Amino acid sequence: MPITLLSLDDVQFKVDKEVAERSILIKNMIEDVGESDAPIPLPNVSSSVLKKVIEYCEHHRNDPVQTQDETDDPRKRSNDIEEWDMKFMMVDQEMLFEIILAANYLDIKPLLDVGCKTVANIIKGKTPEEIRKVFNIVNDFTPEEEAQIKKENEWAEDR
Amino acid sequence: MSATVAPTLYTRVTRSATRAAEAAALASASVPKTLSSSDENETVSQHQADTLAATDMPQASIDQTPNTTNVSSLLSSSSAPDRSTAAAAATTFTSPPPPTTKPRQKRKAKSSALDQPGSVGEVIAGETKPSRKRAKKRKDSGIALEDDTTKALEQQQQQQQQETPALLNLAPELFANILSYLYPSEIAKLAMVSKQMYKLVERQPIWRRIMTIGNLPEPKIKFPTEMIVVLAYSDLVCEQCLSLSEMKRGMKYSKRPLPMDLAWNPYHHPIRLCLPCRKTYYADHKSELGLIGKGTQILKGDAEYTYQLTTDTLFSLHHETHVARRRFKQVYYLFDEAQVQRLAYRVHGGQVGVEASRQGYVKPRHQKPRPGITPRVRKPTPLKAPDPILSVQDLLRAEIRAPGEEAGGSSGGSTSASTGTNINNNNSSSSNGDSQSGQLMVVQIGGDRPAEPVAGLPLEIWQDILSRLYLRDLVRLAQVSRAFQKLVEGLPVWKTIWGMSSLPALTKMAKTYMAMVCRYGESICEFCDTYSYPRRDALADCPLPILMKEEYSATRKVWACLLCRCEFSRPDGGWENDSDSGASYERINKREAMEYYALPRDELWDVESCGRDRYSERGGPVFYEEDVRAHALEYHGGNVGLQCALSGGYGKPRRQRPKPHV
Repeated sequence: MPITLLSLDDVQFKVDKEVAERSILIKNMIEDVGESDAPIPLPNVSSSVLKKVIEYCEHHRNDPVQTQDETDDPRKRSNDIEEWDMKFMMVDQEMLFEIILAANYLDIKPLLDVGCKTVANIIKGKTPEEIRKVFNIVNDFTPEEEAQIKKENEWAEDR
Repeated sequence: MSATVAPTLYTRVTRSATRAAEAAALASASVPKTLSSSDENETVSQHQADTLAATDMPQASIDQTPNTTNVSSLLSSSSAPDRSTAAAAATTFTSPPPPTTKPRQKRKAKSSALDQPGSVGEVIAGETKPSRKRAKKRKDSGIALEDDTTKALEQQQQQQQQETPALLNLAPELFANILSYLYPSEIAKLAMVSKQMYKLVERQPIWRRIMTIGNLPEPKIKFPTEMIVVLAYSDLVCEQCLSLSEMKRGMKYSKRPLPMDLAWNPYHHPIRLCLPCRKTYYADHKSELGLIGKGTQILKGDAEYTYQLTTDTLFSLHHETHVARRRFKQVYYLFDEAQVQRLAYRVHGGQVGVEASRQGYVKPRHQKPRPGITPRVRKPTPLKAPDPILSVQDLLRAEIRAPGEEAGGSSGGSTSASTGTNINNNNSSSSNGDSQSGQLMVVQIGGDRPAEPVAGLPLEIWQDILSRLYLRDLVRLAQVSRAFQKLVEGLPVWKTIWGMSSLPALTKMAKTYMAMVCRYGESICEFCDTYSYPRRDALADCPLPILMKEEYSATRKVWACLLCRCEFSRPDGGWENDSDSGASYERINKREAMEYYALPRDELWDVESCGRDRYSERGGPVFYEEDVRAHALEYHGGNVGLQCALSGGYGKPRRQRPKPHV
């Protein structure tokens, strides 16, 4: 039975229940309310983002529920993104952040993880100047402050 | 007894009382004039009279009214305190004042004041009483004019009646009854109201009671009264049970009575309660404790410091044991912070106790902590300072609001300002912060794009992202902008590293955990986040860069300690970067093996030898070079380690092993 999702800008998406239930938020909602034809409003997600998210959920509809093996240091596992996911995440930064936010809101843990990994990978191994460029950040340190920080953190410089 | 030997403490207490008394005297219409004219030239004689009167105080109280003087005028004339006369004055409260009307009284006082100059001689001539009493009386301007002594006395009584407030007119039992509802500190405060009050308060039996309970020394010259003795010990006397907490050297400050705002004492006057009293108080008033909710975990070292608990006490709680993944298998313990807090509050008697305990131990005598210098407190105590994560959130919010949206700007600012020291405060602001970040999300998605990505994602997600980065990446990220700096600094990872590596306590130079970790950054492995101790003869023991292949940045270096290098580099038994090794199945002798592969002598015992050296006299063992190389890679942690060792070592870690902070 398909479920209708209503995005921020009043676009309706019909998805399978199985796909929709990748999102814990929607799953709980369906459990609480019971199945009905009324569209589920998602006031925090715009249609373009929701489309992307649904695409992800469609692809991962048969994935087993992720087991909590978070005891290991997450730092090491940051680069193991599946190929499909990596391609899926090849979007511009705006979309990337919005996907992360939507995943957070809809409570889709794997998608959130993938998003976070992607951002982490963008940051990895870049100099501050590069990071600024990538994220379009204004450097708001005064030159003195910057010199001071650089001096403190000089061990991070030798790469 | 006299004013001349009155101790400094005493005068300090009563100075304000004198002032109050003077003010009271000035307020009433009659007295000021008498003061101005007569008192100045009579101070000396009056002083004499006072000292004499003090000796036969009982007599004065026996024959009641005739001898007693106008207290307020008398007191205001001599700035030095004078207990005896006031005590005598106090006895007059018992005698019922004759009913007179006020206006008449005033008029008489006025007229008497006018005729002041002539009064002295007359009084002396007319008086039949001893000279000391005469001297006293002379000051009573009202009497001076009267021919009839009885009339004068009457008037004097009236005058006194007029000046004493209703409270002082109460019968002593009633007054004592009132005082019984007050705490000693409040009673002592009452003594500062006026001289009369001081006398009254001073005679309360409560001081003697405290002295008896606490076995305090008897009053002597320096501490002439019971009250003063008790006040000298005031920081050790519990106001609830009146017991004395004996403080010996080496005891924690939480053992002594600590000032607390009690629920039933809503006058913002802190009351000192001893440890047992605090415990019983908190047993009845659990809500006052300000307990935090469940959920957060705290490392053992932090728990010990922040909550001032001993290791033994802590281990009575449930805790999780984690072993660091590599290296020395360092064990660290995680406690539930809520439980720890509850325990600490039980042990120390509430938050005040914990804070006092943090001040350290009781110093040897005469060496009290100097005022103004607070004992060194490690910075992020979850109790006092606002949670660093929280403040980051505030900061982020402030930053977001600053450029674009004006709507929530004020509210964001106010929350960040109100992140108080109080726990309750903290809690409330945290919940506030959460809700705000929730709102923020909505705003961000719906509205225009923010200028910076920091603003774009909620804090939790940023933390998630950052937890996937290596330390050097984090540090570099911190250099990007202020918001990132705050964000990175607020991460819990620094504190964890700091705790696990036993880095020294924070200093002025390294104010944050991050700064402290950065100081020792060279020696900290990015994989296992632990400090590497160099072994002797093992030059490649410190973290060294190894190459990692990743999708986004082609190859990058990550600094890994020896054990991490071993684990990372040979998932299937082989070392990376092994192509140009040049190792072969040639045989090398012991000296060569040590030289080419930077191995200490003892290490070669582990390598299987393949015969004896035919060319040397002693015939030492020879090895296959391949074997030696394999062993050397193992020993130094890969090629990078071997290269490092061969080149004379990466160098000692910049600093010596830090002293542990616990």
